[in-house]
Amino acid sequence: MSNSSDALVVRALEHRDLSDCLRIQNHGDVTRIATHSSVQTIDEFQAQFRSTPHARHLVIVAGDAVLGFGSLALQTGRRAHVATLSMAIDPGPARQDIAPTLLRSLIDLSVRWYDVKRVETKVLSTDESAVALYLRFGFEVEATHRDSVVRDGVYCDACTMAWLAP
Amino acid sequence: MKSGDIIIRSLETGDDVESWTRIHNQRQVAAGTLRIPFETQDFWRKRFVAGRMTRVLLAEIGGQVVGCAGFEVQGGADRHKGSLGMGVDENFQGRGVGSALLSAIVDLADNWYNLRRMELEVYADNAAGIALYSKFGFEVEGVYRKFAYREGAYVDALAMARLRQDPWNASRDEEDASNE
Repeated sequence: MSNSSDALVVRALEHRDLSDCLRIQNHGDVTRIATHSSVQTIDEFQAQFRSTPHARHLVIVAGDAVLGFGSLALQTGRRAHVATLSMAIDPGPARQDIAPTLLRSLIDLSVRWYDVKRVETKVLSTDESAVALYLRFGFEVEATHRDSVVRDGVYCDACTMAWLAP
Repeated sequence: MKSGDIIIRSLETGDDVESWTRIHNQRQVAAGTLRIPFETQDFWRKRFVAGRMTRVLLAEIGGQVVGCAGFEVQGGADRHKGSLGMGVDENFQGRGVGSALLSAIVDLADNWYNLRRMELEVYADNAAGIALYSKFGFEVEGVYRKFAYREGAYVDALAMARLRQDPWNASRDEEDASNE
């Protein structure tokens, strides 16, 4: 168990973390705001990690507890300066520093290690806390995609948000 | 059939892949995509045949392939939307080839695949492309800054999409009305 005083550590996602990450991804409060298709099996989830050779995956932990994970998909060819970013955070812990700490690490990885010029992500337009988080880190809402996602039986809008290197 | 008539048909393997590769590798056409002007037939064959495209259509004038348009439906929870890509031979632009292709794609999306949403990206300085998509009901949803690298510079792209009502509700309304 983690408690709120444990320091947050960001490290590479290891194979043994997959079941923890899947538990977070399949949590109802996470699938409700996800822009990807919802519940996955462990096999599908593993295949997703194997099928993205140009992606980096990080977990954020406190003590033994995995509290979230994030992925950076490095684009190729004429979009080689771009990385697409996604994150999922365990809705259980009350602490507020998990998502910002993970996001800072993902941006740092993009810019300081991969020379990425543009980081982009997609969020539900109604996901105010995610939009606010990305805005706080300098992302801008670039596009609102109408009826892009089906959620709770209705079409919902999604936003593309992007951060450009200075 | 007049020699200038545009025929729209499905892409077949073999010669069609060779024809499209030749068109795509024209510098101006490749610049409008996310690829380079030296793509191989094998790349396109894989994308068309084994790959992700749901349907690919070709335009022909007088037996010559002059353009191509295709779309992809990812399926699953994303089965209501498709993403579109197209290109027209640079020697046959301004002759209605793009309109003929897009008209056929929109017909497929609306009348056969029942897609709620068709989306695309187009470079922000491609006025002809934007005008064509607008004519078929695509609306600008935003601007991706520095979306891709093209001819030595980072360039912006527009997100455009076209929405259409699922006729399910309309047919239910008709039933309700006739039952009253």
